[in-house]
Amino acid sequence: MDWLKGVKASLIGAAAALAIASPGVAADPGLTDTEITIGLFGPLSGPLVGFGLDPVNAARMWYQEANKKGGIHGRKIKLVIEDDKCTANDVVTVVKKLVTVDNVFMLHGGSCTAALTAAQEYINREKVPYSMLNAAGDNAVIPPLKYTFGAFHGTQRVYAAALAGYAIKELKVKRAAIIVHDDDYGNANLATTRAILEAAKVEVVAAERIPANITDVTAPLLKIRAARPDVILSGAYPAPAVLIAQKYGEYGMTSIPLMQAVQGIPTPAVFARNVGNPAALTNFYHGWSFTDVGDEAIKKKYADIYKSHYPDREAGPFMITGLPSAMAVVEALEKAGRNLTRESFVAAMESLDFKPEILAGPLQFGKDRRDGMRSGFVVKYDGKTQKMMPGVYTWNGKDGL
Amino acid sequence: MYGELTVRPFVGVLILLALGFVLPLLLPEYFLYLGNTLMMYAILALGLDLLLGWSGQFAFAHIAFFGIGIYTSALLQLRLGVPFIVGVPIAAAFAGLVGLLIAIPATRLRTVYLALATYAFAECAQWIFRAWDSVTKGSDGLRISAPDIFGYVVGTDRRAFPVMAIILALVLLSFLYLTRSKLGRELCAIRDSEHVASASGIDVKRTKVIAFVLSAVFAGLAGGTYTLFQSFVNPDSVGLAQLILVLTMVVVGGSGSIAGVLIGVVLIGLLPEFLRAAPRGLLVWQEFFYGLILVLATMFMPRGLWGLWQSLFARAKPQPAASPAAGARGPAA
Repeated sequence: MDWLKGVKASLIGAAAALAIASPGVAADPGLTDTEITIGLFGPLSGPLVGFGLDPVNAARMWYQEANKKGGIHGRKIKLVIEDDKCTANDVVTVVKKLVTVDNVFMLHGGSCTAALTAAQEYINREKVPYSMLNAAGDNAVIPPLKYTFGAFHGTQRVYAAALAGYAIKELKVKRAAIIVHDDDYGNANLATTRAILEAAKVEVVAAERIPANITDVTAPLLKIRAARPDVILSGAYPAPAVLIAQKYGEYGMTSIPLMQAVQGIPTPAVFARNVGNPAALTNFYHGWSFTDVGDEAIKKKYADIYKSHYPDREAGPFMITGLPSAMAVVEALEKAGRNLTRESFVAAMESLDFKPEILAGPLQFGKDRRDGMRSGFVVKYDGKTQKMMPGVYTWNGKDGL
Repeated sequence: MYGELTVRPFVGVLILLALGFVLPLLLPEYFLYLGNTLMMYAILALGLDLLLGWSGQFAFAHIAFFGIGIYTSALLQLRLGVPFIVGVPIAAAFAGLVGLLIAIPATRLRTVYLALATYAFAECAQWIFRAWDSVTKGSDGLRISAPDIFGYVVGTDRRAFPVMAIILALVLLSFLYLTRSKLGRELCAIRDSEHVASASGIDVKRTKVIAFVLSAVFAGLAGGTYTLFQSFVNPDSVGLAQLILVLTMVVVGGSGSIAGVLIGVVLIGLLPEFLRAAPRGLLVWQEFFYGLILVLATMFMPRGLWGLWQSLFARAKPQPAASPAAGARGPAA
C-alpha cells in the first residue's frame, strides 16, 4: 500500500501549501489583496430618481478619486451599482443580491429611509457594514444598529432643530405653527420642533399633519392662518411644499416667515418655478447642512470634480448629499489599515470624528451613536438667490439644541 | 367534481415540493428571496383571480385583505406571542371575516361601481394601517421577528423557502379542488351571465359573497406568509402599486386559469430583475419598458399569455380555464 501512503502524503502537502499560499482564504467577502468591493445603490429610476442619481454619481466619483490616488492601502475600490427605486421590496432585493451573489465587502446606499429600514434586520444579521447614502430619516439610525451608519447630513431631528433654533434666536417668535407629514419623517420632525419650541416658551398654536400625497392644502393652511402664528415651520416633501408656498402666497400670509425643511426643496430653482409667485418667497427660509451655499469656492471645487467625471451631466443641488457618506467610508477604510475586516471597518467607523469642508458640522459616531451629523444652517431664499443666515444649530442628541 | 382532472397538476405540485427542499441547498439567498416573494404573490394572485377571473367580479379590495393578513399575523406574534402556525390561519380567517362584512354590501354593486367601492375600502384600510399608530406603529412600520414553527426557526430565506413551497402546494391543491367543485362551476356561470345563472337556480348573491370571502382568505393567507420571510412591514407595502402589480400578473398571465396566473406571477415578478441587468444608461427607461410590455400584452394577448399559448399550441378541446377572462371582456354583465 505504498501508493496509498504516497497519495496521502501528497494530499497533506497540497493542503498545507494551499493554506500557506492563500492568505485571502480567511478574508471577509469582497476583499482581495488588490480590491475592496462595495455595493452602491440608490434610486436610479422611478419617481424618486432625483434623490439618488446625482448622489450615487457623487459617491462613485469620490471612490474613483481615491483609486486615482493609488487606492486605499494598496487596494482599489470596485463598485457594484444597483437601482433600488426607493421602494422597500427593491431595497431588500438589491441588498440580498449584493451580499449573496456579488459578495460585496460592504454596502453603501439608500436615499429613502422607510425603504431601507426594510433591509436593516437582514444587514445586521449578516453582519455586513452598511453606510447609508443620503437618506435622512431618523428611524434607520435611532435606535442604533451595530452595522448601520447614517445621517451623514443630518436627520429630521437635526433639520427641525436648525429651523426651530433660528426661529427662536433670530426671528424671536412667540407663536409657531408646524406642518408635517403623517409618516416617520413627520413624526420625528414634529416631536423635535415641538420640544425645542416649548423649551423656549414658544407656544405651538397649530400642528397640522398631512398625507404625503395631499393635493390640496387649503384646510391646513386656513387653520394655520386662523391660529395667527409668528412663523410657519414646514417639514413637507417637494410637491406638498410647493402647494403650501402657493397657498401661503395666495392668502397673503407673507408677513409670517415660512421655514421649509430641506427635503421639500431639493432643487431651489425648480421649487421657485413651481411656486410661480415671487411674492410667496419674500419671507421664505429653508434648512441646509452643506457649506456650498455660503462658499462659492467649495461649490465650484466639487462641481468641477463632478464635471470631470461626468462631462455630459450638470450636477444638481442634491449631488453634494452623496459625498459625505463616501468621504466617511474612505476615511474609515484608511483608518482600518491594511488588515481590513468587516469588524475592523465597523470599529473604524465608530471612532470616526472628522469634519469634511462641505458639512456644517463634524461627522461623529460612537458605540451607541449611528447618526453622523447633527448640525444645520438656515438659508434665506427669494426665488433667485440663496443667502446663508448666521449661526450653526446643533441638535444635542436628546430633545433640544 | 366537475371537469377533467389530469395527473399533470399533481406532478406540478410534487415538483414544487421537491424544488422547495432542493433549491435551498443550491442557490444563494437572493434567488431564494425572489422565490419566496413569487410564491407569496402566487397565493395573492390566485385569490384575486378567484374573484376576477372565475366569478367576473371587478373588485379591488384584495390588497386590503393582504394588509390585514400581514398586520394580523405580525401583531399576533409580536403582541401576544401567538406562533406562526396558529397566527396565519387566524389572520386568513380574520381577513375572510372582514371580507364577509365588505362583501354583503359590495356584491350588490356591479362593474365600475364595485371597482370604486372596493378600491375605496383598500384606501381606507391603508389609511388605518398608517394612522393607527398605537397598534400598527403607523409609517414607522413594524419590525417582525423570525417565526418559529414547532422549533424550526425561520430566520432566513433559505429556511423559509421549503415552508413557502408547502403552503403554496396546499393552496394549489385547494384551488384545483375549488375550481372543479360545484362552487367553481357556479362561479363560472355567474361570470358568463348572472341572469342565466340565476335562471338556472344558482343563488347569485350568496355565491358572490362566498367568492369574495374565499378571495379574502387567500389574500390574508398571502399576508401571513409575508411575515415568514420579511422582517419589516409598513403601510407602503400594501398600497396601490402592489394592487396594480398583482392585477398585472393576473391579466398578463391569463385570468381564469391557474397556469396563466402562475405564468403571470413568474414573468411580471421577475421582469424588474431582468430590467435591473440593463446597462446603467438604460435604467431610467425601465419604467417605459415595463409599461410597453403591459400595453403590448393587453393589446395583443387579451386572454393573457396562457390564452395565447392555448390558441397557438393547445389541443382544440375547450376548457373552462380557457374561457375569455373577465378582465379582457370587461366587467361582468
